[in-house]
Amino acid sequence: MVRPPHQNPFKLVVVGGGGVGKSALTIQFIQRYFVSDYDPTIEDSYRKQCFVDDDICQLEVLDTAGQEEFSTMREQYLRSGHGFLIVFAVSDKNSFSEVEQLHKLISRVKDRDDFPILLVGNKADLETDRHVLREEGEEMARRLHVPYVECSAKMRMNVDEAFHHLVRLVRRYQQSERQSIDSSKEIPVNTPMSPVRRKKKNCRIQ
Amino acid sequence: MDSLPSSSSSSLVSFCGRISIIGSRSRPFQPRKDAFLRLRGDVITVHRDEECGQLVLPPLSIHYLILAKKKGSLFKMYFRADGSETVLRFRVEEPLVSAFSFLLLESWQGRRGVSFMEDDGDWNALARGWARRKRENVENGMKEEEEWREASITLTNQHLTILFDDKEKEERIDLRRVISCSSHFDSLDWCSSVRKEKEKEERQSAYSIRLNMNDQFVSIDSGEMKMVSTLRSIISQSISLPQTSLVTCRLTENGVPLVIEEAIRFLSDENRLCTRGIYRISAKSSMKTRLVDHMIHSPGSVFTSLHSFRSETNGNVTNETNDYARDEVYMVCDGLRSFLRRMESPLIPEVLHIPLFDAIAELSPSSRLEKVLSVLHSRHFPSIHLKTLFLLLSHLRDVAKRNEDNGMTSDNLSRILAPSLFSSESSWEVLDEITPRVSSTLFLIDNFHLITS
Repeated sequence: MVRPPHQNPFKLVVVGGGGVGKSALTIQFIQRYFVSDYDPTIEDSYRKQCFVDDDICQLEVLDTAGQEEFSTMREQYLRSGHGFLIVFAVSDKNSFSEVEQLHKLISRVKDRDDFPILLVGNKADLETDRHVLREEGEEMARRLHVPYVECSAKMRMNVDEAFHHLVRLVRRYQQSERQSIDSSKEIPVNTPMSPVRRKKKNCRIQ
Repeated sequence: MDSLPSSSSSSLVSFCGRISIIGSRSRPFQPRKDAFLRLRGDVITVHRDEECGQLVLPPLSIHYLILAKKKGSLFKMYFRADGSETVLRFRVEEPLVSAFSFLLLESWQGRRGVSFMEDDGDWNALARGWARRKRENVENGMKEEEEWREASITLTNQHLTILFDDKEKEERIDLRRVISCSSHFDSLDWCSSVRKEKEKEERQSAYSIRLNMNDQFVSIDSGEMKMVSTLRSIISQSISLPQTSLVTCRLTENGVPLVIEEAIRFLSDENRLCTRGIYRISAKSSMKTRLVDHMIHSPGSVFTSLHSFRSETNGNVTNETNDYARDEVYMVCDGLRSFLRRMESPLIPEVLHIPLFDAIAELSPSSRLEKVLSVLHSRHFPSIHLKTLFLLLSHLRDVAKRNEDNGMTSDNLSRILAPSLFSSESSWEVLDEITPRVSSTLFLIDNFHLITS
């Protein structure tokens, strides 16, 4: 399928508990360096153009606050996001325990359980301080039906991969959505549905 | 009781009004629906009619009043003299209730040079009993125990006032300082004057109350079970209300909510202050929820049983104990933040938000400080809120001083804490609403020494 060159940007949202490294991950991806300062984020947004599978795409990455205090701002980005990275730190069990809740929240707002979401275990370089095993991460991902990636913003390990993977999920999802809309348009033509009924249906929608 | 104290004859009548007698127990008594009560000095007489003619029952002296209860317009008074008891239960006409209760209280304690408080007119119980105070100084281990002394006790919605017979000065206890109210104490601790009466009874524990405060105990003892149980039920009711606003919280001797002071004391340990990501890293939400629930419903015992909130923590059982400690720090910080946001009104009162933002926006440092101070000392800033704010700010400064270890500069802290200082009912959905709150919080932390000097 050929995409038009000037499409709307993909809105990717990075969510997860406080201090798990959402900003470090985002900035490593966008600006290619590791922020060593420890500033909590309230909300920051970044833009980037990149190639994924030889296809150019516009990305808008929204870096969010991990603290519950700012959860009132959630509604807005949950609605507008096209894809989500749910991040936890492998060195922080509590952040892992929030994953399921965040997944539930996204599924509820989107009213879909197959929305593009990627589970990310960050700080994988802290092997000695690890409190969430890779197997536990994988098990959680299986349960939520999302892919799992372990990465390290510090070492720039799997950072691009994670974002690119999410872009692919978003593309695939949007494509399938488009197809289902297309096919639903075609249904009336191919099926022996009476035009009267079709008209009625349209009236109701409008 | 038939002979009146001489002082009463010279006193003026302070109250006269219609009452309806609901019940009474005394020697000769004729029940009456419609009667007139007259308070003259410390003598109460109940008459058939307005002319204060025939007495319905013999004059009652407040001198012999052992217990009075008030609930709305309903009064119940117990008098005891020479071993015989008179109980009078009556309703005062609605418009006269507050006047009567105030004048009765004045007779009860006014003559002894007691200072009146605003809430005094709204007393719930007046009682005679024995009381004593016991202080325990945790730091130097000193115990200070007073002797039992007979006293007149006044209980209002907010205070328990003990007026000892041998002392001019009263002991006034803010009920918000009472953490718990227990009934049983060791029989060795009994007041010897009522020991005999108590030993005759079966439920001896029911005759004593011990009010537990942070730094002291106050015990009340009596030979009258009804007196003790009345006080206890009113006090228990008032202290078991959930803590939904800062001004009704259990207080410490410093006048700040107990749970907040204890949380900060817990966090003030050097190792805890240095915890990486203190205030930033969240606790497991189920543990935090339980902690906040306890802070609201059973403030007296939260921090003594902290370990019980911890379930699954970072690290398995064999892991180093450091992680348990770290988790507790995150949990208490998280709990403290959400407790503040759960209060009915924010720590910094909502009416002062805009004036404070305006003050912070002042360009010249001196007028900025001056305006900030005038906001902080505004009459709209309840003293409990201000004291709590100052305690929290000085704690946050201590945290920020250790930013090399914990990573939390005052700038970082202000982003996380601003929503707890300026919590508001209307949720913030845009960044613009958060920015002035964060910069105000930062100013307060950084300039704490100037604000309080």
